[in-house]
Amino acid sequence: MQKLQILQSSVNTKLSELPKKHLLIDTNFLIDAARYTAQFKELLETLRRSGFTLVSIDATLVEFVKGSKSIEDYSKKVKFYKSIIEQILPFDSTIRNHVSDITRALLKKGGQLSYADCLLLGAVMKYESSLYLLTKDRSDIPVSIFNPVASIIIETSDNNCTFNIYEYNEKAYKDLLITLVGDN
Amino acid sequence: MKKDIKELEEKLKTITGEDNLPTGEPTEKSKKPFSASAFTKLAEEVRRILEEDAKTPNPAIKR
Repeated sequence: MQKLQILQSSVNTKLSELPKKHLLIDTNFLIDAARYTAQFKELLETLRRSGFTLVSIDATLVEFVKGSKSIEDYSKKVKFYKSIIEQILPFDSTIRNHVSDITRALLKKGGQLSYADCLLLGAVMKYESSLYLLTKDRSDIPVSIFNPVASIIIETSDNNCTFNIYEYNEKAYKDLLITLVGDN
Repeated sequence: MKKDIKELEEKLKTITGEDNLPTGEPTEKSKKPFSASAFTKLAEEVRRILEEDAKTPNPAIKR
């Protein structure tokens, strides 16, 4: 297991120095953005100033809007989603194959991941040279392969919440595969 | 039948508004300006909706 290394603990200092400029946004970011409006307004402005483009996948839109009680609620959620997310990444066979491969390789470590989570990880693998995953601090992200490179701490009236920026570590994935294949 | 359903689906889409975003590779720099005021207004409305939704749990909000 790779040691956790926090390179970024404050949103105002080094986000702009991260080399990749596209952030893949998870559903939990959207939910907290609606909960903590003032903090996320500042965060979104900071991310834009730091040169980031916020993208996502269809699955997060579905997760965010499903279960709406009325057409009006549905429409408002979609508008809100569009106010944050600029672009949807195309779902293709490369991502599908990454999802399949990572599910096979993670075994028990991937047990808590939803299909939408797997799609997010598959997208990060496909676009490894340009894309990070931005999601709430979660124990189910396999950090041995998706390393945290930055943390953003949001202070709220209730408590603090932490969002992490993860990047795909191809070498760690290869090492995991070698271990798995070597075991059999 | 299928034609009727398609027409009804299209009609519903005009009521809700389009929910599709531009699709593309993560290569180009952001072009869309961020509107803080629009975000704040929508966020307030969506926060109230999510609070109502939470009374009937949505699996996506469990995280």
